[in-house]
Amino acid sequence: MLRRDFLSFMAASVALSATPLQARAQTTPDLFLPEHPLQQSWQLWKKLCLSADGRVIDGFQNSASHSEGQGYGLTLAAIFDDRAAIDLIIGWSDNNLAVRDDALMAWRWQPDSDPPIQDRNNATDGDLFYAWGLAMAGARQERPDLTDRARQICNDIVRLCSVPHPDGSGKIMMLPAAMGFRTAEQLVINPSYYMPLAMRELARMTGVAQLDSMADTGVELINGLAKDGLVPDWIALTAKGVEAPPANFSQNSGYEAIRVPLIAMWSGDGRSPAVANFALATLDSAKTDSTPVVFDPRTREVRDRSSHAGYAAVAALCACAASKGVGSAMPRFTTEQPYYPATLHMMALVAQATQFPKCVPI
Amino acid sequence: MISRRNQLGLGGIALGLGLLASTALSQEAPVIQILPPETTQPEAAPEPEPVLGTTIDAAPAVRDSSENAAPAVAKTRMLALRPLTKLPETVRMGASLPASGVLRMTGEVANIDLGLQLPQDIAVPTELVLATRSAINVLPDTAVLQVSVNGGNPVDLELDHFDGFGMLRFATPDLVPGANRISLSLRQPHRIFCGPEASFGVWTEFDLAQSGVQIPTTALIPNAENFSLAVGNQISTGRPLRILTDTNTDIEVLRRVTDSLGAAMGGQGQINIQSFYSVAPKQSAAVALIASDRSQISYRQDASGAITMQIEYANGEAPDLTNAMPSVTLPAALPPLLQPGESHSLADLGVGDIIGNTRYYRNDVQFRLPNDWLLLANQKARLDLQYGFADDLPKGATLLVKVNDQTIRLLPLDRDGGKILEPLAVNFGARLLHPGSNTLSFEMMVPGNPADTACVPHPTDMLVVTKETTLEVPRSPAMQLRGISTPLSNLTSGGINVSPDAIEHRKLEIGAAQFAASLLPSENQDAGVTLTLVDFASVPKSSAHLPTRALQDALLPRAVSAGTSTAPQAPSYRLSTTTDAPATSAEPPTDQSISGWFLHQREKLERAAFLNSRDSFADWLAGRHGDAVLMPIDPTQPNALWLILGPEAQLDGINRALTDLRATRFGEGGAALLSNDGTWQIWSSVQLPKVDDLVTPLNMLPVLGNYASWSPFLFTVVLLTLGLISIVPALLIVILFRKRRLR
Repeated sequence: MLRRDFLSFMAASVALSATPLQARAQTTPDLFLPEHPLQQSWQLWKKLCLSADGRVIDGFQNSASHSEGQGYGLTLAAIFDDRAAIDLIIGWSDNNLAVRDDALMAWRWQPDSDPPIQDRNNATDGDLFYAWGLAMAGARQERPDLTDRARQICNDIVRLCSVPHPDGSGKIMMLPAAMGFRTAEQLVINPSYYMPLAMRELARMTGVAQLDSMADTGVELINGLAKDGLVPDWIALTAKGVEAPPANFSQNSGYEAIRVPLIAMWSGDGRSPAVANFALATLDSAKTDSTPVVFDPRTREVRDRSSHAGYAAVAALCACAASKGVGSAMPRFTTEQPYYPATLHMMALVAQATQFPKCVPI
Repeated sequence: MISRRNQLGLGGIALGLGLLASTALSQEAPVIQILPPETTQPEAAPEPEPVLGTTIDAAPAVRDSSENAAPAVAKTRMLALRPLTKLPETVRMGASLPASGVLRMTGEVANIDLGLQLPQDIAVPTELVLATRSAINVLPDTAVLQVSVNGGNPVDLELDHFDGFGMLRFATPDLVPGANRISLSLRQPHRIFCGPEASFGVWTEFDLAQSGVQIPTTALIPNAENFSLAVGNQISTGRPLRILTDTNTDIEVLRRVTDSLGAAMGGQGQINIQSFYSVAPKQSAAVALIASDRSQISYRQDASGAITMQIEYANGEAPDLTNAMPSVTLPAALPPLLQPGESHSLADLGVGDIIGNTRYYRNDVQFRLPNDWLLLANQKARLDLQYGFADDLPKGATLLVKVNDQTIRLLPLDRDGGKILEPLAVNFGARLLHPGSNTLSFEMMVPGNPADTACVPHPTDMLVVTKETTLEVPRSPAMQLRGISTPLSNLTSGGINVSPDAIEHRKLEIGAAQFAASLLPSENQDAGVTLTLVDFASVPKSSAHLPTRALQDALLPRAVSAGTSTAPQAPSYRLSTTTDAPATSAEPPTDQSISGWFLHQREKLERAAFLNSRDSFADWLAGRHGDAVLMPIDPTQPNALWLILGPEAQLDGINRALTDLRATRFGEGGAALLSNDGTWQIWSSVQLPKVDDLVTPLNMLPVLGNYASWSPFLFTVVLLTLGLISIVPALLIVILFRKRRLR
C-alpha cells in the first residue's frame, strides 16, 4: 500500500461527497489490493477476533463485544476491501447493537448476560469508526445505502454527543457517549475517542461539517494536553479548563490514551506532541521484553507494562514517525495477543503503510 | 469504550421488534424481525440534545490491563551454535541438517564439534543452553549427552525431552571471548532392539537457533562484524538470509543487493525475499531494503533484537555495498581437489581416522576431480585401505567400500579382528568416478547379537579406517563430454538473467537474483556463459530446434482424463536419474514386413551405438513430466543456457536443484529435466567427447579408450574402415603383380 494510493482514495472520497449519491458511478482506487502483503495480517486478525457471524470478540473481557470492536472491524474490513467481512459485521451489529431509537449503537453486548445488552448507552468512538467503515465501504463498493447509514450516525453523533466547552469559548466538544458524561459544571472527555482522519473524511463524505470542526477542536485539545506530558486516559473540562476526571476514572495515561498517538499518526500528524511524548516515554521498550503502557501522565513513571506485540508496534511507529526515521522496529503481526492490542497492531500497520511508508517494519 | 450503570430500562426500548404473522408466513413459526436503524431520518436533524446529568455516573470499563507493573526485564538474544563443517541435508548416520536450523545426531553413538563465536567486548556468559529432543526409541536411563567446552571437563546431561524441544542448561566457566569449540558426545542406545536398523531409530536433534548463550541485546552492538557473524551462523545451519522489501522494489536495485550479499556469503547462502509485512516469525539477522530519499547503509536491531542491515536507496541507486559487510566465515563448500596420478591419503583430504561405533555406520569422504578429467575405459583407480576392527564382532558383520554409491569391495569383519590389518589394495574401475564431486564411502553393518534386545555397550571401537589410507586416481587426458555441465559450471552470477518476454517477469527476476546469490564461484568462470530464465509460454518461438509440443506435454500440468484411455500408461516408477525411462510392458506392435525388420534392426543397432541417448530430445521427452527444463535452445550456442519453467515450478526448490546439479556435474548431457520430485533426468545428445589436450603417443591410448567406450559401434566402424582402407594398397599390389605375372 502506498501513501499515494491512500491519498488518491481520499481525494476520490472528497470528489464523491460533492456529488449526489446517484451519480457516484466512478470507482474508487484500491487501498489494499488482495495481493498486498498486509492482507495476511488482516486474515490473521479476522481469525483471532471475528466470529463466523460477524461479531468482533474481545476474549479478554469475557468474550464481550463492543460497538468499538464492531467499528474497528468494519473500518479495517473496508480498508482491506473485504466485502464478506463488511457484510458480516454490519449484519451482526444491526441485529444485536442497533437497539436505540437513534442511529447509534449500544456500546456493549455480553454473551453471558440476559439480555446481552445491559446498558443501552452508546460509545462515540465505536459509532464514529462504524460510520467511517460504512462510508468507505459505501464509496468503494458503490453502495449508497451504506453512505446513508454513515450520514445518519454522523448526524446523531453531532446531535447527541457534542456539547459546547464549559469555558464559554464556544468550542464544540465530543462526549464519550450520549448519556452520563456531562453535568452543568463539567464534561468528562476521552481524548482517544477523537479520530481526526475519520471525522474529516466523514464530514466530507456525508456532508456533516460539524465533525470537521470537532476534529480541529480535538486536535487542539490533545496538543494542549500533550504539552504538559502524556495525554491522560480521561479528563474533565470545566469553566476553568482541563481538570482531573472523577475518581472512578483512570487518572493515568494508559490503555485508553495509547490510541491518541496512534490515531494522530494514522491521521498523518507525525509531528503531534502526543506522538513525540509517547515515543520518549517508551524509549526503553527496544531494550526490554515488554512495552510500558500505563504511565503517570505528568511524571512518566511507568505503572504497567505489557508484552503484547500491538503496544510495541505503536511505540516503534511513534519512535520512527517522531524522528522522521527510516525503518521501524515494529514486530510482525501475531495472533498471540488479545483483541485490543491485536487491533492496535493492525491499525499501526495500516497507519504506517498509508502515512509513513519509510517506517516499514524491519 | 464506556459503561453506564442504571440506564437499563424497558421504557426506552427502541428496538424495532415486530411479529410478522402475515398470511404468507402463517404456517411457520412467528418471526422476530429486528429492524435496522431508521434509514429515512431527515437530513435536518433536531437540535443537539445531549443528556445533562446531575452527576457523572458513567464509569470506564476495565481495559486490557493484563499484567501488574512487573519490572522490565532486559531483552536477550541467543548467540547460537554452528557446525564447523558442511553437513548433509539428508539424514545420515552421525550428523546431518535435515531441517533448517535443526542438527540431527543419528546412531547409538555420535559426536560433533560445534562453534560458538563470542564478541570480544561483552561479559563472557557462564551458562550454555542446548535445545534438544530425542527419538522415543532412545533408552533414557542410559542415554547421556556429554558436553565439553574448549576441551574443559565434560558435563553429563540427561536426554529427557522426547515430545518436543526442551532446554538443557548448564553452567560452564570455560567460555572465552572469540571462538569457542563445543564438543557434543552422545550415547543413546535403542531401548528395545540392537542392529543396523535400530541405529537409524535413535537420534537426538538440536535446535541450533535456540542453542548457545543468552546475552542482553544491549550487549550486541549492531555493526557490520556482528551482522556478518549472525549471517554466518544462519547460513551454516541451513537457514536463509532474509531480505525484506516492498513488492515493487526496483528489481535492478534488488539484484545489485543480492549479488553483493551472495558474494559476501561466498555463494553458500540461500536468500529469501520477503515483504516487510510478512507474518512469518522473524528471529534472525535480515536485510531491509527501503526506498528512501538517501542512499546509505546502517545496522540496527529489529523488534526481536536481531541485527538488521538497513539499506536505503534513492532514485533507483543502491549504495555501494562492496565493503559494507565483511565476508561471512563459513565451512568450505567444495571438497578438496584430488590430483590424478598422485596418491592421496585421507589425511590429505582433510579426514582423520574414521572410527565407527554404530551397528549401521557410514562415513562419506568427499573429493573433487578436475573438470577436464575423463576416463571411460577400464583404467583402474586404487585404494590402499588400512583398517582394523574389533575382535568380537558378531558373525555377518561386514564393511562395504563404495565409490559414488557403487560397491567396490565387501569385507568381512567377523574374523581376524582386534588389530590394524595390513594395507589392502582395492582396485576399482576409474569410470565409476567423474569430474567434479565424488564420494568414497565406508559402510559398516554389524548385526545385533541378539537383535531383539537392547545392545550391550561395546567396550572397544568397532571399526577404524586410518587416515593413512590412500587413494590414487589415474591421470586422464584433458577431455570432456559435451553438454550443459561445463557451461553450467562456468556460469557467473552476472550471467543469470530473465528473458524480457517472460510473463511473470518480476517473479523470475527474484528467482534469478536468489540463484545468482547462491552461485558458488567456479575455477573457470566464463562471463560469456548465460542462463536465461523463462516461463514456457514465453519461450522464443524462433528456435526451430525446440520441440515445443513435447516441452508443453512435459511441463504443463497433466489434464485428468474423464474417460478411459487405451493408451499405455506411463510407468509410475523410475529407477535412474540419468538413464531413459523404464520400458513399459506394452511394447508397440512390431512391423512384420521386411522393411520393418530392417528398421527394427537399425534401431537396435543405434541403441547399442552410443553411450549417450539415442533418441531425439523430443522422443526422449515424450512421457516424461517435470517442472523445468535446462538446455541451450540453440545448439550452435552451447554457452547460452535456458531454464524453461513450467507453471508449477517453485523457484526455491529449483534454485536448490540447480545448485546441486552444478556442484555434482551430473549434467553431462544436452538437456536436463527437473522432475517433480526434485531430481534431474539427463538427456545426452550424440556428440563426440571433446579433447582439450594435445594428443601425443603418451595419452593416445586413454583418448582412444574414451572414444571406444563412448561409442563401441562407431569405434569399431572406424577401425574397420581404416582396416579396409589399409587393405586397398595390398590389393592393388597383389593385382598389379598378378597381372605382370600373367603376362
